[in-house]
Amino acid sequence: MLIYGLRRLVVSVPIVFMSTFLVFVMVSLSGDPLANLKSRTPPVSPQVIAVEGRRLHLDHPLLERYAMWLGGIVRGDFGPSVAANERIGPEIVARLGVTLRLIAAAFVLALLLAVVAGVISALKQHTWWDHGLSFLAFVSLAMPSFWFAVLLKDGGVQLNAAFGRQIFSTVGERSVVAPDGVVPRSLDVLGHLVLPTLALAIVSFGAWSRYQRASMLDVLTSDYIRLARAKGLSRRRVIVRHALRNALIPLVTVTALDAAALLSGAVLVETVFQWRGMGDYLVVAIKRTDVYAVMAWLVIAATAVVVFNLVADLLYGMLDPRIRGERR
Amino acid sequence: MKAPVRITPPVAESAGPPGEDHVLVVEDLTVRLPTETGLVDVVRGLNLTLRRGETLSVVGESGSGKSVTALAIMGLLPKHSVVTGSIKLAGRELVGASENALRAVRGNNLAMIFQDPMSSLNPVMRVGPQIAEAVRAHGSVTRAEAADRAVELLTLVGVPNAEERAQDYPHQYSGGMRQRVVIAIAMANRPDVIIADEPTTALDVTVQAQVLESLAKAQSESGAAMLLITHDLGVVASLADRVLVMYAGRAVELGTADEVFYDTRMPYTVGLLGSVPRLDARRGSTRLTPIPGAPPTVDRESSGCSFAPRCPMASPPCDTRPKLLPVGAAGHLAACHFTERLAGVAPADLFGRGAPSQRSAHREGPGLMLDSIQEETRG
Amino acid sequence: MRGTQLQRRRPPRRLVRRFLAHRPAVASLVVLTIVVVAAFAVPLVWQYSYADITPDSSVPPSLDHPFGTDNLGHDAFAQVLRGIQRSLEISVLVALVSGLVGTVWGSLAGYYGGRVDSLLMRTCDLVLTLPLLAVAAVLANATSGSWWLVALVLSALSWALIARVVRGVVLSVREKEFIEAARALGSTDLRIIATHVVPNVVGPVTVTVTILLSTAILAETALSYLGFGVQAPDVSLGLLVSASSTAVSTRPWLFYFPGLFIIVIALAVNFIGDGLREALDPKQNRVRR
Repeated sequence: MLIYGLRRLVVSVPIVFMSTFLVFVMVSLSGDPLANLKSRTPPVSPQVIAVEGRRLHLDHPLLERYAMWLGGIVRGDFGPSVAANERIGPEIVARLGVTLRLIAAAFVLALLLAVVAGVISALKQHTWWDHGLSFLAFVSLAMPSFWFAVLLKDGGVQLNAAFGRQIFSTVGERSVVAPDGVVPRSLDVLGHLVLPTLALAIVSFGAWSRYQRASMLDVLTSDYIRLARAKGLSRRRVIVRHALRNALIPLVTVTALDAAALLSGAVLVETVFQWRGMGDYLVVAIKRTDVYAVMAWLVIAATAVVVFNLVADLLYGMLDPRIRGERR
Repeated sequence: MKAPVRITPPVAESAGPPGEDHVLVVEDLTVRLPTETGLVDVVRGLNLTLRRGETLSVVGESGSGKSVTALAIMGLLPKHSVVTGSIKLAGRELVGASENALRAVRGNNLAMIFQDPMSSLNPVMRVGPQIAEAVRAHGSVTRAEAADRAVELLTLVGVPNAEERAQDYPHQYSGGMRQRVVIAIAMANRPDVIIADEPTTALDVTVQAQVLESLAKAQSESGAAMLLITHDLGVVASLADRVLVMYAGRAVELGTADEVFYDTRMPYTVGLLGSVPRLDARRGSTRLTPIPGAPPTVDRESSGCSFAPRCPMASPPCDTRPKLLPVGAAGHLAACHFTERLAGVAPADLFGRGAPSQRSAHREGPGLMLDSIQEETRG
Repeated sequence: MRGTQLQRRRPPRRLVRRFLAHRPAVASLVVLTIVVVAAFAVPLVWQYSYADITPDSSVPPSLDHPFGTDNLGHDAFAQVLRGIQRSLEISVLVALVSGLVGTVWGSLAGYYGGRVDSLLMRTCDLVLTLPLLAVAAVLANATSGSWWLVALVLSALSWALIARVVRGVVLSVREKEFIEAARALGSTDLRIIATHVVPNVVGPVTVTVTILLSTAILAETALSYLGFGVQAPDVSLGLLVSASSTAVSTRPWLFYFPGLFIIVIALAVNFIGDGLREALDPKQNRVRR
């Protein structure tokens, strides 16, 4: 199984390679990193601009720049940022931690809600339970995530105002002045996590709960469920041990594959809640044509896709003995 | 699952008084299934009795209501199916029984073997536990005892190295071996009745005999009566004590295997026997004689004999539906107005060239077939 | 024989009947029709244009201004109608362009197979590995922010989805007996594609394009919110939400109305897609009621 996963990993390398090249070209051609410097008043001297251009490798042709960048990546160097005093590597690693916290929390929440909703929907197919939950899923799929995030944020602000104290934190990933002590600091971080997590989870919830419903319905009409019922097992055992156990296999795979997409969702949610995470980093980088910073974001996103694909394969193998059997 | 609605009180029509040895008594069973266009009658007033330890075989074309009858007895029909009549298992009424009461019976007094062993077992659960959980569902048995019993059952149905194979997953078993596992599950709690729905149809011809052997062994070991649903007359001949022939949701002939095979009194049964190749037939001596036409669609129902449109003997009396009435030996019943004329008739006489009456065969038979094909092509 | 026959010619009447049985889809179709007609017809008779600056600034909804006004005095009703127009134009353009490109691409890959197939499909894989939002933002940032450029950027990143679906269908159709029979009878490739492949592809493509419609609306709003989409003075639903998101408490009407229309449109499109899928693939809901 692991070998199968690794083989797929190797196959995906050229694609990732091509994709970084494509994006590098696109980002490089999308604007002039020196535009900001050139348009300053009073004008910056041409020598300074030339020095800055050399620092950003702009004196080399595009292909050469890509090769230099690639060489840097192999050594763990993400390249120079437009902001001269910023080093991309340490900065993005710090922001990755912040974003991963959000994504992990949203992932778990969305998965739990989706399984519960999907199972209830399937067991009570064509009842009001099913209709209600399905409608909720459809609405969450149709809702712009940042719109919902703004709504939550505003709700939080109004609630805080109504109670006269800070119930929900609505700005930043933690307080600017963090409280002392491990426990208060963790609580502070958790408090800041609640609303953004909800906002990010709602999008995945819609798709996953529909998926879980379909998968559960499929399993419930299978022959082995009929045999399980023919054995006279309790309803609970039939549903949990036989139906749910099987219905989870495709869902887990899909969620692992979708997890990387949460990175994109995080861009919006972080912007709304003013988190200093990867999303914020990307938006700023694009706006100032910070080529190497955008590339850093994309490399991490691509790595995440590859890693989550591998995780999906491994999970699939763990959950389904038929796949595991291939090893023999 | 919604409890099936019971509407009419049971009426014993011709099954005779249920005696002590009648372990399963089905009276006036009707089943209606939900479809896109509404409820459709699939079983229409079926009576049958099963004596302790005997094997009753139910035969008929697909769509005749055999499998639906089995699922109705198990209480495993899809939601919103409507079941009326009476199903008594060892005196206990199952129609209208609560889901809890049914659960206590299923797998305990009443077990079922399904058609496709490839999909009958849970793919993510080891084989041993799948048998053990059936044991544990109906008795206070420890986990270890149940596991031992599972191995014992596997050995009994002929799975070699049972101890080791109990740790395998279903995909590591062949089709025949999987069906043995299903048989082991069925006999786990020594049920009174085992319903086997086409137990060998999905299997290779080469393993069918072995699985039938396991089935017979399971039955004798547990002392269960068996309702054997099949369209394989070879299986019927080798296992069945009595045979029930179904057509369009009704019983049309009932008798011992010998009576039904050699003293057939219903034209449909005659046709059914005539459309099966026989290995013992001398080459060239017997032609296969297909029954013209196709079974009626389940939602359209005439007041007459439902086989009349395909029957070479159809005549005016057939506009009223014949009752299932005794013919010849005691216990032999047939639903036809011409049971007397059918004594000693061979399939080729009835359906082959030079059959007594080609009237309806010409009008509705092949013509009907052609029509339906054109209908499909036109789509 | 039977299966292939059914697959080749699905009677459209039955399809319509199945679709009509899907109540949310029918209701959605009605709602969407009303919204579309309103968005394009009402501005012709409405007293304010989306660009008009009225003397009323920051007034809540009233008879004169059903959706209120913003701080500059723009009539929000006129602006929302204009925004719906823009968002619909963008999503329809995305659906058309990527539907067309994807169908041709996928058909070629599926029909010719072999090297052509692997070359075309690797390209698809490449496009699909690009994170939509990030790359769209990069591309859109390089453009002037005209609505049709935003639409083209989104199309460039979503056609591969359609291509993959189409290729799958074409591959499965290609193996069917009736194609072999047609080939044996001397039909040309073009004729086979026109009479056998296209009819089978229409269904899945319609469903996927429908889903794409709602994805495009949401992607446009997200891009506009981040500042990479449609630029002022043009108006789109995303831009309206974005502009009002900092003043939700003071002028909530500016935030809620465009947001609600995004949800209504995307929801309706999704339900219609669902209805279409069930009508085309009745296997999924055999026993209903």
